[in-house]
Amino acid sequence: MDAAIQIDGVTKRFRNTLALDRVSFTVPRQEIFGLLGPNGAGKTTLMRILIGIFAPDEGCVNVYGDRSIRLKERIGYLPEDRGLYQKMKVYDLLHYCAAIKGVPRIEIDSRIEEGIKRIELTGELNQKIQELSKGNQQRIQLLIALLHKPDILVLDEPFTSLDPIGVDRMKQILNEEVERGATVIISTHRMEDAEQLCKSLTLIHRGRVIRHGTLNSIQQEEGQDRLIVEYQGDSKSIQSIPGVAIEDNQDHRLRLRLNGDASIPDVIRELSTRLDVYNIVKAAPTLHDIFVRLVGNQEDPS
Amino acid sequence: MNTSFQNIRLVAQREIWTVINTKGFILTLVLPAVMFFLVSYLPSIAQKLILSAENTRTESLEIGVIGLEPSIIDEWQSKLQHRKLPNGLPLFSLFPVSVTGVSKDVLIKNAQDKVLKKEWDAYAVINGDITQNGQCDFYSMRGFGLELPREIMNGLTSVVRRIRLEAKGFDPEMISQLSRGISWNEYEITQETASEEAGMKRKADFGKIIAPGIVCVMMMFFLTFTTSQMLIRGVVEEKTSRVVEILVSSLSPTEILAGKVLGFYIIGLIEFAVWVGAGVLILQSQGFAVSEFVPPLYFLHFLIFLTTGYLLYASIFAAIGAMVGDETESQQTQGIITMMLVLPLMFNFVFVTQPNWWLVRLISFIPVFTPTVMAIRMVAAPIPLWEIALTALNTLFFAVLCITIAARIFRVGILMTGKRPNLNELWRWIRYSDRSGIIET
Repeated sequence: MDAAIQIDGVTKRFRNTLALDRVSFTVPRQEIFGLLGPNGAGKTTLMRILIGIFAPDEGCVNVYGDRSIRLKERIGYLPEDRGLYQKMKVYDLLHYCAAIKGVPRIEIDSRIEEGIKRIELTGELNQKIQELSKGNQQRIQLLIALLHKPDILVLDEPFTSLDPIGVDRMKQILNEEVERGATVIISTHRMEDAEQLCKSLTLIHRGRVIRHGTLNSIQQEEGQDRLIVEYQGDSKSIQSIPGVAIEDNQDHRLRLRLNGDASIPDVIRELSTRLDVYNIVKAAPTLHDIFVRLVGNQEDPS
Repeated sequence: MNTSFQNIRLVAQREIWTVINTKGFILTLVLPAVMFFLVSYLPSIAQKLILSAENTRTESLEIGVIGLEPSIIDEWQSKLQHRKLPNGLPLFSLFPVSVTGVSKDVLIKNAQDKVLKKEWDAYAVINGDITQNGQCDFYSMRGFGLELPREIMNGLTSVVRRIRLEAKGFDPEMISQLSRGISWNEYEITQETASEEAGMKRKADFGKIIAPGIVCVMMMFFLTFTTSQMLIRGVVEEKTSRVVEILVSSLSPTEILAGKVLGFYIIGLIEFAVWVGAGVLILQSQGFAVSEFVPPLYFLHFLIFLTTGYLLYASIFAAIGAMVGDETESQQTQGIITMMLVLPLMFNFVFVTQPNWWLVRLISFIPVFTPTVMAIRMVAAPIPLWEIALTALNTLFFAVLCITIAARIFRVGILMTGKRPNLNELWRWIRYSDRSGIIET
């Protein structure tokens, strides 16, 4: 695999807290990579190390196999907290951020114009940031990360404050960026977004990597298949089928988890003797399922 | 670490642009100039107003005098004769009040009534013999004029003085002739002007020597104080709003801090130029020779210390901003540090009288004191150019050192809000960035 970023044994402590514990993984080039984990898992710390705000106590980060490049010009960063000068005008802020990222002066205006159209900002360029809605401020944040056409985009909770239309637009933009050649790293709590966007991902918990790989491989690794069953009848009658657990049961639609021993044909046969089955589909475990199972119920994933 | 001047300039530009676009900045520019203008012009404007009030008057001020011989009153009146109304009448009209068989108390009571009814403007009561140990009580209502009674008193004083001198057999004219002072001029010899008589400068007294130094130091103080407050506020605001994450993902901490310090230096220079410009214009317009008061060469040297001193103090303040969690926390420290700038003023007598004493020269090399001590020493005596250059460079060196340390504190402290670091932690932060070699090259 051609790696964009290689993280090797990164450890970080804050006073007495171990924020990251020997974290190692690689981020493949030119795809959207998900960094998932519950609150306090160490996602933001890892991202800050990636962009150079923090230095790791141990370990190192290689970008494009090179430790000596001037990284800052190649990375676009969207922090989790809305870090914008509230009193600056939209245009002035964008101009300033483009300039400090090294965008040539003569190109800045055209990039801003193009970017504003791209993020579909509703509002005037001479408005102050504080006059914008939270969603629009988040769009500006994204634009700031994109203005210098970075090779790597690091986005910490990019979908915060966006309405569904905004979320869709942002996903579209991220895919466009990958087509352009960029590598995108996002951290998110929204498992369905990660499932939809990310080809590969890393799940971290309490500062450690607990799963890493492509979405498919992680789903396979988790092993347990699901069956989605549409039926008529009394669902209580299936509780006794061995190797089957009901994950969800709503509107005559069952979601069953099969443990490793259960054979799918056997289960289907059993189901049809007990219920009127109209439709059965095999499904892989969702990221949500994997997340909840691995991280446990003691932690709130949202 | 690569520090790009281009980036420093961008940060500086943003700071300047942000500050000069605020209404507060216009106020800081205009207010001191307006204050200075008012202080310089108000007295003369007030004088003119008083005169014009007098000029609209058509009747003399009627002043009754109780208990004084008419002949003395006449002479007193003649001493006040130079004050006239536009219509030619005298400003003051004194007249004796005495009625045979009526006691003084009744006369005073009567006079009081007349003043209250506005028939008279004032009255004077003489107790005892005014030429010996007597006294004069002057009564008027509010609005009579604060300065006028003094003029009236001066008239009576000169009458009494004449009477006393003549009583002892002296000629008052001759006495004033004989007791006048002598003419005394002090000159300062300098290497450059020793040969030419015209180039010799008049030597002023202690107060006049030190005045330009103190004026310059005070300007430096206000400048440092006001802009450093903005500087700290900016750093703290970026920390609390997390703008800093975007900045640090684009710039090095040194670039951010150096840009800020430079930006506020330029803002300070703009303020300084406006204040000095307005001050010079106002003083010149009043016929005050500014270049004689603050010699241009001194001012040039002062600018060197203003710059290096300002950079040093701003760097210290940037470090404080990087350390503290919120603005209020910084205020106490800020106050103490700004005081360091004016602390040497307490010993200015030593610096003026012994400008080249070894101890004074030594103190000039303590960076936080350099600007003030040198500003005062330079007015007192010629200081060798090498010493000026060396102390300035020394301060500049410490300013750069301070910015570097501040950047390291900033780098680690930037995302830590809340608890203020203790000395141990600070020391770790300063050493810390030595080990971070992954990103910065």
